[in-house]
This record gives sequence, structure tokens and C-alpha cells, in this order.
Amino acid sequence: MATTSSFSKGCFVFKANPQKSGRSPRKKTKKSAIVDTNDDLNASSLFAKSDKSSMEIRLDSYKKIWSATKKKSEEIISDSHKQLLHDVKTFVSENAGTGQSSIPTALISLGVNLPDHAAFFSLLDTTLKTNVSPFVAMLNSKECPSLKNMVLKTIQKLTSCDSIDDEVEKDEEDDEDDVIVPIKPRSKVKTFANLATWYSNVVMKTPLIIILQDLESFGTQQLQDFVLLCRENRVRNKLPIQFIMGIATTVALQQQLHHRTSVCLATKSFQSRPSVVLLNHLIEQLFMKSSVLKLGPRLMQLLLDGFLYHDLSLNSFMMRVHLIIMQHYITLPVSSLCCSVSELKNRIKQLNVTDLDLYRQLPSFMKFIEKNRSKISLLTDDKEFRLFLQKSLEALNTYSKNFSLSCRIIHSLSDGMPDALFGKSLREVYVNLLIGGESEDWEQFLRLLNVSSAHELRTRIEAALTTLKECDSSGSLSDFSTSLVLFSEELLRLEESKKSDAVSSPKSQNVFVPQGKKLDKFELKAQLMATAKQVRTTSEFDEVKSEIITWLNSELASRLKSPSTLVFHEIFYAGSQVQSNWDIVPWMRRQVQPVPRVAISKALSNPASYLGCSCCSLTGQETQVLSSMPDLCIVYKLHTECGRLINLYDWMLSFNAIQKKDDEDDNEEIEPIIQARFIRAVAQLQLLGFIQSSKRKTDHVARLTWGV
Amino acid sequence: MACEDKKRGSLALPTIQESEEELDNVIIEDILRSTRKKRECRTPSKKDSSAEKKKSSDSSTRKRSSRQSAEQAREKITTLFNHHDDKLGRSIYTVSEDGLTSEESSDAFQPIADEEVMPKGEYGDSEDEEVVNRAAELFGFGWKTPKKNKSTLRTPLKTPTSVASKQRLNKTPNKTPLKTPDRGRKSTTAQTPQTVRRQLRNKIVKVTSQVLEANSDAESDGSESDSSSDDEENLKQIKLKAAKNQMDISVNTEDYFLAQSSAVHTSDRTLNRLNNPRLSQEAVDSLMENFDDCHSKEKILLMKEYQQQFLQWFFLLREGFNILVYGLGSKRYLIDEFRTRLLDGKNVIVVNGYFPGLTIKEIFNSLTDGILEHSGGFSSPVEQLEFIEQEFTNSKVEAYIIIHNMDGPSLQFSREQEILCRLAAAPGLHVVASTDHINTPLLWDQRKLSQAKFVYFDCTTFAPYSEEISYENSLLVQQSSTLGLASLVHVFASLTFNAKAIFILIAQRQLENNNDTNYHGFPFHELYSDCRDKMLVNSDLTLRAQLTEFKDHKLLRMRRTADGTEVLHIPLENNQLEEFVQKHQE
Repeated sequence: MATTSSFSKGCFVFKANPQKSGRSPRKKTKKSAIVDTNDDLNASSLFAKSDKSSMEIRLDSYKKIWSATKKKSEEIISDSHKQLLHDVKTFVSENAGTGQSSIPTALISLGVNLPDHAAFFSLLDTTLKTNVSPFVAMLNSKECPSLKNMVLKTIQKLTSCDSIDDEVEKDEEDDEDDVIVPIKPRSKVKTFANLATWYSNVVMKTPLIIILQDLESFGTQQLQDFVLLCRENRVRNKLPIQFIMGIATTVALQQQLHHRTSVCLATKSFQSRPSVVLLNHLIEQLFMKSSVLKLGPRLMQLLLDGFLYHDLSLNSFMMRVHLIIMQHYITLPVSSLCCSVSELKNRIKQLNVTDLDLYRQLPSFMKFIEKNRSKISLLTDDKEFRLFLQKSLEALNTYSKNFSLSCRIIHSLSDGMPDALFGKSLREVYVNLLIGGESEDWEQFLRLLNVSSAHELRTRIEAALTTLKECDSSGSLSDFSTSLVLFSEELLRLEESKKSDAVSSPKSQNVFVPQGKKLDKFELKAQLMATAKQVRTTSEFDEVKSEIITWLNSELASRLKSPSTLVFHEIFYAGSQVQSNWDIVPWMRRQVQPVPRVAISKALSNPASYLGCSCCSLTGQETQVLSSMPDLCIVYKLHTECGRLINLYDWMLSFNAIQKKDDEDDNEEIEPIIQARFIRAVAQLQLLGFIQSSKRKTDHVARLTWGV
Repeated sequence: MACEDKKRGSLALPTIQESEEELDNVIIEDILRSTRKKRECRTPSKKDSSAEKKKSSDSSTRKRSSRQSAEQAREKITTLFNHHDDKLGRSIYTVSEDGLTSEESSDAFQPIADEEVMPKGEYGDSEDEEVVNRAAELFGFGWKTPKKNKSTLRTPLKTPTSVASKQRLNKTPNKTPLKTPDRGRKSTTAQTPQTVRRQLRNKIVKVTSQVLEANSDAESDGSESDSSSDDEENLKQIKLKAAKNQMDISVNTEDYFLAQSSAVHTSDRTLNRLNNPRLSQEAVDSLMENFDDCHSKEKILLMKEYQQQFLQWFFLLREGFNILVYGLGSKRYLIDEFRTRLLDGKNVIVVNGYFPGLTIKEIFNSLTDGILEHSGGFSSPVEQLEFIEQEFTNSKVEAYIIIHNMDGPSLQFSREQEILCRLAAAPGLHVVASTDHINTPLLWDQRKLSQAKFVYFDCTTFAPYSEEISYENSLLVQQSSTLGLASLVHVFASLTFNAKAIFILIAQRQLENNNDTNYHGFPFHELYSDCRDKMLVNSDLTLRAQLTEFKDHKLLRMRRTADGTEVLHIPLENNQLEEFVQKHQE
């Protein structure tokens, strides 16, 4: 390939095929098909440590799982916007007329997660176009740097849907021999006056809807002019213009618009659901239901951190999930068994001996063998191992199903408890238990159950029962639910009997205010001590309660142990602790929190950490300068000792002093090679943005960073 | 710990609120360009100026004397300077008592060598000593009384002298290398009463031990990952990776204020003291050719390690992600290697972001003309961009865009980045980009990041940025001035006799006023009369026309002085100008 450096241009083109590019569409599709097969081959060599069949299986399952996840997430997101879309739609159709002079405006506050808004607006666009009016113009601030552009864009978009029909027809006629779509003939409608005449010819008198996606980013003056212009036309030309504005922050409209302008708008505000709620929903649907691949505790934590502390964006969250799914199947050789239970048997059959050995290397299996010495034959007997594999993977599958169900039960049982022990939302409960929450929390939970009243206990159990009924379609926890039903019935019976008791028996004696005489302090104390010493009679309720708690402690707790305790969990839980070269967590961490600047600083101040050489390794301090280090590092380290200005001459002398080999040589003569190296290094430092030439003093440069 | 990590993460990659974009643009450009103006505006505070006045009279004589002595015996420079320092210091101390405290903070930023200030064994036992020393480094203040000497000679980067170089073996000493020992300090330390010092020391020992403990905790926390592997090479790689993962570079925000508050002290020496102050670009290149790098083996290993990721990159690109490569060292070779290995025979556009003349239009044109072979024109870049987006979304055409230095001089603006990210978002366009500037992440807000869908790779290659810096025109004095001289010669050769004579007139006048600091330039009307006398021009207008030629080539600068006269100035170093005039006269 030709060189890509030149003093006259900065852009170089390498065309795919040397012969004239195909004019016919068929040729093109053929070519791309070939390319595709090539790429798959390329991708295949990516998978390390496995033969072709296993790699194909992995690639295949990755594609399947990702497309399923993607589809599901899109469904969930569009579902969650349903209500809001409906509200906006009704608002728009209710205000379709031009009766009022002010412009009907829907203000939709969508939160700061800007990247997610695009999905909502495209949904809104299609909803409005199909249900209310085909005349929708969607604008964002990037398209409209000036008022002129804004008006042109608006009118172009409003009128374009009218011409779509013609174009489609035209396309059908002549798409056989001409691929290159001719640029749309410039619309003649360019001003609002034109728009009015155009609208008068339109058959459907539906409203003209203008959507401003990011209100805050438009220029204030521009926006005001635009609003006034639209209002003018609404009144004079009877154009039924309506606004829909997306707001990211809580900034008041008054800040953006002058009072003069804001009175032209008849606003109604709408609120989308906060993205955290959506995230909870997404995690519940994607990872707590019967998904094949789940997120391990470390990755889950990482993703949540990225979401909650960094961007609050579902878009980026899904992108990271995509990366995780991909990495899991690519880097983990044992991921070929990460599939649904029905496929499992077949796939295990296909495994060859080397594959089996890979499974034997998994840390969870090693641990298992160490604990169960009797099963050592699994290491040698392939047939037995296959059986074991299938059995444990099936067990793992039921475990994870039960796990998420148990999480739901815990969530409904602990709902509303003080301190929100396992977290307020179901997602928090799930993540906490996945990470293997502290046993203290569990004990505290039992203690709190122990002190709750019969009625409270019963409502909690009933809530748990309803969630069970909702979610457990397969009935895997049927015995569990039957015991819950029994308990709640028992409690109900107790409550009722108590009620009847309360009616019949007289009021219990009040310790603190005995009838008749007044107690002094000491008498009261003595009396209290005496009552405390009295052995409490255990009521029937207490017995039931303790029974419930012991049952919970044995039944539920066993289902809630962290997945990392199970054998072969690495296969289904992405990012579990595995051999370090299969571990995708560090890689993912770099994706969630990329640190380009830190990488540069690290390389400069401690080059050995990258180069891995022994000559440059630091013995303690970061500021240490060694003559063996690369020039750039030495120059960087010397510059960190300076203030805002650096004298180039002195800098060069210091560089020279470090480079000098013989220590008795006192002269300050600088060899040309040293000078050249110094010049190079300084120029590179400038490219990196650490220094800048300065005119404040001759032969000085300005330092742009501070600290070390 | 976790919380701290988050802070760091966000510091490294701040997300920018869309709504404040206007403001952000300003900030980014400020950061990337210059803060010089601000500094120029700053007037010296009253206290400083009063101190300056007192000092200025005798410091000028001192400077002269010191210069003489430097010529006589260089070894003694520092001793002499320190001597002056000391004297000066005492005379200023009287002033500093009523509040010249900014010195303290400058000290804090530049801890002086501890041994000098507090000789070992004078107070306390040596164990404490060590802790104190470490404390001094940790907290950034030395063991000393408030310092008083305010001298222009106290360079942070002290020129090494014989004294310093004798201490040094192959390695330089650990703390603050290249610092000449200050002899005068011992006497000043005696000014704090011993009791106070002892109390202070005890306090520092206590605090230090706490901080050190905390530090060691943090370190042990960080190194939790990775163990066990079979062969040696793997082990090495893992070691490398482990080192990369625990990047704990803490940011001390106090440092910023310390750096800003301290006055700048640098020596007045210039590059003219060198035998050959200006090396030409060719000379540098030829010198560097012969220079062999002692780390070439490690660099090749690093390169090989990164090349193993190529398949992954390609796979990611096919899956709709884009690749962003960061880290120290030129990534050009690496990405070029990727291109030749995996993108051979595909539609590829290589964009050299470091090329100063690059425009976004050029990228558009290469896409529309080069890849799509579209013949029609476009009325505006926006339209062209929309066309490109449409083509790469709907049709099956694919293209790979390789951007070396996405933060290059002509791409480092919000608008350009916006466009690049929009291109990256198109399904048919795949971007592989590299960044080098440390402030690059400030260019991207959330929307851009989510559009671009970058997957980040740390590829620290340590390779020299030879190609990237070869274009940079402000490459410090060395290159820029040689270029200036070269261009002067070229332009000069093509001029008429009269124009040459005019330029020489200006140059000579400038050289005559070499040492006059009040000389701003050749006044225009004087030049005009001079030229008319010598029959070089016949009217004001012709002179201006002649001068335009020089101005266009940036060989002449015209500006107005405070009294409104137009003056002409040649923006070249005097010695170069001299050289040039001499050459011309020959």
C-alpha cells in the first residue's frame, strides 16, 4: 500500500476494488457477500484455544444471544415510554385546532441522559406520524446553527412527507439501472408564506408539529425569534403549529425564553420515567428472567457504577452489555456450553477431549475436586465427566432460576423494613445478594421479622405469595409456596382467635400506672426490674413466628448463596473469577472508565511499568530520574520540578547532566546528539500538551500542567 | 476506595453537560490554546512591587558582577549566587515580616534539600529523621522557617555544577536532582526556636505515620488481581497487564493553587550560550538517525503484544463499534500495520489529524468522491454530511476511516469532533482513531461519546512521534526560527532591488537598536523619508505595497505604538538577523 504521509494533503483514499465500481446493484451485493464470508473467517481466528466447530458454536451463540437481548431491551424501553407517548399524543390531538392564539406546547422533561433521548424521539415521531399527523418536523440544535437554517429545516421537513409518496413511485420505476439516488429536488417551499399556501392545498388538515429535541442547546435569541415567527403565522395564516420540546435539566422555561415569548406558548409539562427506574426494569427483565448469560457480581457492580455515577444512560449501559456478551463468548473457551438447557445435551456430546480438559481447568471445578477427593475419577474418565457436566449445568440452571425467585421473595418480605437491608428496589436486592451480601444483613433481617407483629408478618408473607404466583410459572418452588400458604393461614387463624380473646379477656394490667397510689422513682424501678425478670410466657404466636424464621433460615438462605460457590458457574456468569488470561473484567473496566491521561502520565513517570525492563524500574519514589529511561520520560520528569515557566537552556543542561556518562567531566559543553535528543523530546512533550511555547521570556516555555 | 476510583474515573473522562456546550467550547479552546493573555493582564501586587523596588537597584549591579564571575570561573557560580541570595534574603527579610508570605507557598512547591536545612543528628534520632524527611516530601514542605530570599536566580531547575555532578554516579540522587546545595540556609534555620521545631516535628511524625499506613493499605488493596499461569511469556504479559491495571495516580488539587500562587523564578540564561544554539531540522534528523535506543527490544515486544489485538479490533469494528487507541508514543505504525494486515482491499480513508492544513471538507470529499464516486456537487458541507450518512446507512457500502491524531490541530474543535462522531455513528463507516493530547477527553460530551461507540485500547508504544511533530510549526524556538530564516532567504531572493533595500534598511535599524529595550520598531514615516532620500520609493502607497509582500510572508510585523505611530518590526532573533544582513552584504 502506498505511503500515507505527505506535505500537501492529510487525507488518503484506498478504494476497495481497482476496477470500475459496479454500477449495478447486484454486483455490489455479491461483493459484500464475499466480504462477509471473509470477515467471518477472520473473526474465527480470533477465538483462541479451540477448534473450528466450537468456535463456530460460540460465534453463533454470541450472535443469537446479543440479538435476543437487544430486541428485548428495545421492547422494554419502548414499553416504558408507552404511557408518556400516549399522553403526548392525546395532548397533540386535543389541541389540533387553531382557535387559541397561543401555541400549544408539550414540554417533556427527559432527564440528563441525553444519548437515550434519540430513542424516545424516534418513537414519538413514528407514533405521531401514524396516529395524529404526517406533518412532523424534528429538529435538534446541531442542525440549526442559525434562525435561517432552523426555518428552512422546519419547512423542508414539514413538507417532505408530502413528497415521499411521489418519490417511492419514482423509485419503483427506475431503480433497476440507477443505484445512485438523485438528490432530492430542492423544495420550492422556503418561507412561511410558501408554507401557508402549501398547507392550503393539502387535503388533510392535521396539525403541523415541530419537535425541538434539546431545548437547552438552542440559542436563546434564535429560539425566541422562532417562537414569535411561528406564533405570527399561527394567528395570521391559520397554520395549526404545535410545539413539542424536550428538556434535559430542570431549567425553567423562563430562563430560556423572555416573558414576551413565553406568553405565546400554552404549555403543558410531561415527565418521563427516570432512567434509574428503567434500568431496574431492564436488569429485572434481562438478567433475572430466564436469560442464558448472566452478569457476574464484579461486572454487575462495574456496570452499575458506570451507570449511576457516570452517565445515567441506558444506551451506554446496553453498549457495555453488548461488549460483555461478546467478550464472554470470545475470550472464554468454555463458553460453548453457555446455551439453553435444551441444547446442552447435544453440545456436551460434541465436545472433544481437549475441550473437556478446558472445563476441568475451571477454578470452581478444581475447588470441587479438592473438597470431594472421592470424585477424583472425574479428572480421567471422560464419560463420567460428561455426565457430571450435564448434571451440574442443569443444576446451575435451576439454581439461577430459584435464585432470582428467592430474590423477589426477599424483596417482598423485606419491603418497607427500616434501613432497607437488601436495598429498596428489586434490582438492588438482586445485586446485593449476587455479590454475596454480608451475613449481618441476613441476621438483621431475621431479627426484624422476629419483632414484627402478627398482622405485619402475615401481610409480608402474603405479598411474597403473590409475587411467587406472578413469577413462578413453572412451579419449581411449589413446595415453598405451600409452606408459605400454611404459615399465612396459621397466622390468620391466630389473629382471629386473638381478636376474640381481646373481646373476652379484660384489659391487661398496666405496669406503669397501677391503680390507686402514686409510685415514686425507686418503687417504679424496682417494679420494672421485677417484671423484666419474670419469664415471658411464650404465646402461640411466638411459636409460629420462630417456626417461620427457622424455616426461612434453612430454606431460603440455601437458595440465596452467591453463584460463585457453585461448580461451573464461570460458564453462565460473565466476569466470574477465572484464569487471568480469560478474565474480561479488567478489560471491561477500561471500557467503562477509560483513563487516557493516566496512561500517559503513568508511562512517563514509570516507563518500566509498560516496558517491563529492569533498567528503569523505580526503587520507591515516582520522581526518581534514571539515565536509562527514554528521553521523553527524563525530560518530562525534569519538567515536573518546575513552576509555570521553564528555562530551555537550564532544562537542556539538566538533561545533559543526566545523560553524561563520566562523572568527572565538568564542562557544560553539550554534544549535538544530546541537543537533538532534547529538542525531539521537548517537541513531543508539546504535542502531548504538557508545555507550550511562551513569549514572556526568551527561550522559555510555559508549563500547562501542575503537580507531579 | 471505590468512591475514590470513581472520582478518578470521572476526572480522566469528564462528561460534559450538553446544555453548557457553549461554555465548554470556550473552556476547551482556552485549555488547548493559551492562557498567556491572562498572565499578561495580571499586575504585580503592591507588596511585590515595593519589594522589587528595594531590590532592583542593587540586584542589577549584582547581576553584572555575577556575570563577570561566571565568565571567570564557572564552578563558582552557584556559590557566588548563593552568597548573593543570602545577602539579598536578609535585606528583604525586613520587608517580609509585614506579610510577604507568598514565598512560603513557593517553597512548599519546591521542597529544598532536607539534609542541607536540617543536618542529620542535630535534633532527635535518625529514625525520626527519616520519617520527617518522608513527611517533607509527602506534604511538600521542608523543614525550615519561612524563607525570605526572593531572588531571580533561584531557578527551580538549577543548572548542575561540579558540586552536583560529583555526587551523581550513573544515577542521579533520588530527591530533587540537579539542585545546587544552598549553603546560606543553615543560618536562617536557626531563627525558629528549638522548642517550636520539636513540637512541629513530633506532629509531623505522627501525621506521617498515619498517612503512610493509609497509603500502604491502598496499595495492598490495588494489587488484588491476577495470579497463576503456565509459561514464562504469559507470566510476563500478565505482569505487564497488572501494572497497567493499577494506575493509581492521585491528584492533589492543592498543587494547583501552589503552582499558581508562586512567583516564577527562572534564570536569565538563553540558548545563545550554546555553541550551536539553533539546530536545523535536517541536522536533528540526521543526528537522531545514528542514535540507538536502548529499549528497542522492549518496544518491539510491546508492539507485538498490541498486534495480537488486531483481530479483536477488526471483530469489534464489524460489530458496529469504533476503536480508539490511546497511550504514550506514536500509534501511527501500529495502526498502519493494522491497515495493511486486515484492511487490505477494502475501502479505507486515512486521515492525518496532525496535518495542519487538514479540513473536514477534505474528509467529506474523500468519502464522496473517492469511495462513493459521487459526481454531483453539494451546496453546503451540511448537505454533504447528510448525503454521506444516508449512503452509508442505507446502501451496503462500507468504509474504514483511520484517523491518526483525532485531536490534531485542525480537528481539536467541538464542531469537527461533532462531525467525526456523527460519521462514526453511521453503520457503514468504521473508525479507528488515535489520540495523544492529554486534554482530549474534554472534547467529548456524553452525546458524542455515545454516538462514537468507542472501544478503548491502551497502546503505549513509546515510539517517537517523528511524523507527527514534523509538521508542528510552533516547534519551539529551534525549528521555528530556522524556518523563519530559511523562508526569509527564499522570499528575499525573489524580490526587486528596491524592496531588498527597504528590508535591509529596517533590519539595520533594528540591529542598531539592539540593546535598547524601548525600541519598538522602525516608525513608518521615518522609513518613508529614508526611502525617499535613497530614491527607493516615490510615494507612501508604493512603500506600503512593498511592505505588504513581507507582511504576507510574516517577515515583518506592523503595529501601532502608544502614541499612535506605526512601527515596523522584524520578528527574528537579533543574531539571526545579523547573520542574514552579513550574508546579504557579502
